[in-house]
Amino acid sequence: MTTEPSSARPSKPFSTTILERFEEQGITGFEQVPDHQEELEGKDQERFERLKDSLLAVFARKSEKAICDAANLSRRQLERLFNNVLEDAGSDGQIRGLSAFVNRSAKKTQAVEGEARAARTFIAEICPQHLRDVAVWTPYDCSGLSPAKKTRFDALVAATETLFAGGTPEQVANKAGVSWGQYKRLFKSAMKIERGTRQIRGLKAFASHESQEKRVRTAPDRPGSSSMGLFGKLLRDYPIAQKMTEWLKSQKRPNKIKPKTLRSKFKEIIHSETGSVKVPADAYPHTKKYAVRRPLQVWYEQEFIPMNSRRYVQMEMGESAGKVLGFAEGDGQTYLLPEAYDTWQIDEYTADVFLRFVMPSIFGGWDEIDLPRLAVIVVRECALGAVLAWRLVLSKQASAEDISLVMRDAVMGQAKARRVIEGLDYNEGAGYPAVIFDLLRWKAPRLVMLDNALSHLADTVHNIVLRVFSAKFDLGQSATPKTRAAVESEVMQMALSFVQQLPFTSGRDPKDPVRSSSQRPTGKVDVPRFQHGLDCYLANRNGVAREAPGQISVLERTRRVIESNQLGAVIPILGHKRKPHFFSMPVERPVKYNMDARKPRSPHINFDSVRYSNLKVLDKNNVKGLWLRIYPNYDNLQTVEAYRLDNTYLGTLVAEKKWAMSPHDSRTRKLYLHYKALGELEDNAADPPLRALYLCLSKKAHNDKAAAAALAHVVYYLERTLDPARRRQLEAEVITERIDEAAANADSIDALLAAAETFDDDDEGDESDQDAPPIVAEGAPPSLRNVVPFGPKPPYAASAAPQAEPSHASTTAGRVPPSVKTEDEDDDDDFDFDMQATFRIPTSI
Amino acid sequence: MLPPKKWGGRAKRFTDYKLGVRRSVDPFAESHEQIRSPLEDEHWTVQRFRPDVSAIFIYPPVMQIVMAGKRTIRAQPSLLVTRKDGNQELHLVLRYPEHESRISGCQTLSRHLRAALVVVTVQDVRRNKQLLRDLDYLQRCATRQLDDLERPDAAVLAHVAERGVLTVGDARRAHSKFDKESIDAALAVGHLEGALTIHFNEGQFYDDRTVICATK
Repeated sequence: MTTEPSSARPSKPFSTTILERFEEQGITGFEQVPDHQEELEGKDQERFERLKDSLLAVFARKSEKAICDAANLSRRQLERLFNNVLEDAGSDGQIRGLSAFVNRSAKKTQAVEGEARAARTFIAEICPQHLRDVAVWTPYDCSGLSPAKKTRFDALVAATETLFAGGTPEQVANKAGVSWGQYKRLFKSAMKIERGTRQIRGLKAFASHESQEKRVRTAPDRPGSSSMGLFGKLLRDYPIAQKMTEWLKSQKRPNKIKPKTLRSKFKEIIHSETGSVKVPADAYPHTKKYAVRRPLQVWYEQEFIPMNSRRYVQMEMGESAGKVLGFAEGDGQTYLLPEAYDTWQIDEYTADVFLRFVMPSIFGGWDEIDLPRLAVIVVRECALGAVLAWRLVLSKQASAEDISLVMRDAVMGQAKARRVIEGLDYNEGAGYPAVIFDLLRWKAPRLVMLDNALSHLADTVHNIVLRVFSAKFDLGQSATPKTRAAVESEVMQMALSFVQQLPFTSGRDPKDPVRSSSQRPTGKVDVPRFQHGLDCYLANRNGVAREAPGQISVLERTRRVIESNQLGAVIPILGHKRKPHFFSMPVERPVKYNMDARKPRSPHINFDSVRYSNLKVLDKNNVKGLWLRIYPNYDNLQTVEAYRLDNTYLGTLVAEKKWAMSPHDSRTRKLYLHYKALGELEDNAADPPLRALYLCLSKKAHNDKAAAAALAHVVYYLERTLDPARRRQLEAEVITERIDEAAANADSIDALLAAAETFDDDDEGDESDQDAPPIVAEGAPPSLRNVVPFGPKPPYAASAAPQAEPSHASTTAGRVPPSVKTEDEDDDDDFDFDMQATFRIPTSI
Repeated sequence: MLPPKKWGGRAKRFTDYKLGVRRSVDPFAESHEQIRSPLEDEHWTVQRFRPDVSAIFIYPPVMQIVMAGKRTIRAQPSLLVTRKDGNQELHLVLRYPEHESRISGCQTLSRHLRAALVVVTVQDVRRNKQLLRDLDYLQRCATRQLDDLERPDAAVLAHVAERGVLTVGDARRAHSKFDKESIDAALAVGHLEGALTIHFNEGQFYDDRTVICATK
């Protein structure tokens, strides 16, 4: 065993270490060290001489012990002091030299720094950032002050300016002519809120005897003393005011408070034996019987009522009066002024009109069903006042899906309603902004303002605003429509100028004379005619000169704003998020499958009680434990888009056979599931679900208005997705990009259709599936998301030449590409859907 | 990718905030935020773009301090800001002068927490409206970028590091195959990560002429 020699090097002598530092600064001799010029006294002088001797010993290269003995300090202390000698003095690159040995100078510097810090801390604690300039303080007219007071006033103002400029307390006190403590008291007084105003007292505090705090009595009640200030002292000493306030704000109080009532409660409180209020029997107010009447009433009128004005008005004058006062107070939320097209407001309105829906009858001819009052959704832009989109919901209440569809309309462009009234169309220069200006299409707003309607609180709406629009949204305070005045006034204008002018209006409220059956003509407005009229009215609103955009039309103002590049902060929506599937709430679902030979089930996911699958996307060998994020298209649930949880695109999944036969939206699906749960559907597994739903609703529609609205929705949806005239009209108005997209995907549609034949509930096609053409390759572009792969074969398919999907947001996704198949090809198609056959007359009716 | 948030519908709407509420996405922390008023949201946005801030806690729970066993002080600042050096700041956003009574409670609280107290008013927050709009725009660009499949972040940051000093317009022109919102989002993320500094206070706050400096 060997021992290695120690690798530690012998340390340098102390004097050598110090001298190396001096040589780095170019100092090789003691005479080059700057001397201290001022005279010193007493202990300072003695200390200075000792340290000077120790430095001389360093330059004489004496031992460490000799150096430390000369200064009577330790090595560490001396090292620090010698380093101070080499510190920069702050001027001309000079070092501090022997001045660093002077104890007094360091202390003085520290003291000055400490004082300056104290002044800065004082300002930071007392004075807000925006008030750190005397010029913005509340001014005071000092012309009436005597010369002496004027001099004092000017000195205090100058001292304050010095303080804000970074002066020390000593400098400030010298300028002010008062002590630092007195100055701080005056400064605090200047920062206080002046009574009766919302401003600080400001410069008035510097004028002598001009402002005085409210005097507060501190002396106790004694026999023979005045009762001045005793009531205030009583309220400060005991929690009487809190108890009185609690009682006055509670439901236990009478509606009208008279002085006697107030005094009775006061006596009850001060005589209570329990709780924190135990006023001694020999103290005020027991000793002065009548001294409490007046101050108690003053407290009630001058403190309680101003602090609780809304509650006071509610109790004394009624609930509605309190609500009006609440509106006047505002909701405490102020907004930046909106810029053009960067802020939206959305609201619903229950149309004040009796509507009916005319539909083909299963008995031949047609049926008329009376509808309840339906909801209209309006989207309005705030700065210029343009109506961006609207939607008539064939239901009493709008759902979150309806809101999502109308938001897509707003960014994509509102399509024209079906033209059913001859000669009625938009005026010249009228329309909707996103249709007319390309620059506004697919542009998301900065802020969306909503009320607290149930549909607005849905996660679906939130997800679209936050993730698709990348915007913020405000849910306003309840019962404060003034914060969304833009859309509320638009809705009111629509009600007054259009809806309530119709011959079959229901009037504004039950007391409206037109509601009386004797006053109004019998009859109802057809839904398509109402939609057509409403569409033209709102489009024309955008085209007429109005006050909000400066006595010109909204669209003209928009054109000028765009040309001058003053559009608000609107940002484009990402390309792949413009597809209808992304205007929804994604849901996460596990992939399920069953390989049991008796009842095999191919890989699928369940969404809205329906199986969705695609054998080319969901490989049965690779789906164990797989979860998918599903994006449904609320306007057509035949297909959903599937992503993995890491956001990679998987493909399009198709609904099971009977649901894939025809387009249907989410409301239709929900209606079917609702009536199925009630056991009112007379269907079997092989029946098309829409037929079963139609038959069920047809029976109930004449007695049940909710069912009538549901029936109207189903039939109207199928009409607008299948009617040839409607299709031709929409195709003529189609947006170019949608045409191109649909045409480009025509081949893919065929592939999807071919693949769908292989998907069966019984999972028969596992073997044959392997030979089927690929449907959507993994990672394929999301262009397929916008097409509808399945649909009925319309009788006009052979004559319908256009290849595209029309532009109407609310109808596009549910529409079937017309040239998906020819009639010849569909002869043997199991999925062939015949509307006439579906709606054939049932024998049970 | 930020998963969709379930806010809880009507059942949860009024549990946190009885009055209005503003909801948004914090793209830099990849989280959802909700805050009581637009004014506080604007102040939050300004604080969010400070490169030295590591975390912002909106509405920390109401804290009670019992002074000498007698007096109880309740205080709730609007924001609890934690800087990257570990120090904390209490931010109190005052909508009305009457709300200044909250200051004293927060002062006591800040002394106990050894945190700085920052009191801001409407005038403080909205002094630079254009800056607020620009920061809001950058936040939205970054939110939009969360789901973007082709993010230009690495290319933009490498370009800035190579050039050292350039303008926003230069960065947009150099990566013209991306849209300008994606470039702005990349710059905003880089600004908060400390890779570069956007000099908002020059000229029009944020436009083509705004200067960007790479951080050494």
